[in-house]
Amino acid sequence: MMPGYGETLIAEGDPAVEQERELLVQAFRRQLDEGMWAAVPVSDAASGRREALLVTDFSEVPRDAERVLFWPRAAGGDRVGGAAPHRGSPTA
Amino acid sequence: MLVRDPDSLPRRPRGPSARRRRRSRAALPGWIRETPVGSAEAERRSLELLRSVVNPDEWEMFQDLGFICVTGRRARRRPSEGARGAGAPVLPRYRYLVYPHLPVVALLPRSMAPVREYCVQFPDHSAGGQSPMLPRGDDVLAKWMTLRADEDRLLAYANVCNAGCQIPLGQIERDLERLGRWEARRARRTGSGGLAGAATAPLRGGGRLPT
Repeated sequence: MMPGYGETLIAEGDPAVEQERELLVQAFRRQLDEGMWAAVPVSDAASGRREALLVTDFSEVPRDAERVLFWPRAAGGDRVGGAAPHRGSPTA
Repeated sequence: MLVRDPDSLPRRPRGPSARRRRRSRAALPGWIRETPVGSAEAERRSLELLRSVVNPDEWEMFQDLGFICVTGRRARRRPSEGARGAGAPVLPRYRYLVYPHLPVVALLPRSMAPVREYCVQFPDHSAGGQSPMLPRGDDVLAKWMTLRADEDRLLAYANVCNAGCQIPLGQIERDLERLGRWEARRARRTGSGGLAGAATAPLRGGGRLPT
């Protein structure tokens, strides 16, 4: 997910195929190196509800995952007036 | 991999806007193979992605109300309960109203009283000449995924204010009332008991309950 695109495809492939897996791992690492957060949309086995799984390493991506989403990591947002924040860590 | 050769695109007339586009594209990371789309198309894509990831009832809620009510996954700490509390239903510490490009509003889980605003953004400065802000759907989805997967992570990065700091308490109260009516309508229509863990109750004390 990125400004000006909504979403854009970074890479696609079958992780069971060694060459494609290597490309996927490289693309995954590049995104995290650039400060992105990554999550895999998953479904809760018991409730069937859709959930998300944050991942920080390619090995954490479930084998049956269809996609991994990347987005810029969070930063403390702007405040419009009001009291001082209790804490904050705008690191992005 | 989606590959689109930029040189195969139709040539545009040269001028100030063309120069801006070239500068913008030159500043993009190398792995991006697609030229930026217009803001309306980015918005459409972001909403489609949101729809495909969140639960159908949450998507419906977003379409109807303009926000999503998300249940946090951090359990409220009850050290006094000890083993007696084992097996009892555990309340989440907070529920949240997730608005696009506005702070996340934390609500007490039972009374739905607003107690905090978590101001958080996802700025992307690698997007060349684009605004660093994600489209609406992406902003909501980023908050939803982080809250559901790692609530503490999102809250740790946020600036925290009291409820009412940016979003007026009156608006939150109206939105909660709308949410309550929406849930009731949906429950009647679907024959269900409402959304899982998202039951609402009227605000008490004008929505200014302490934590």
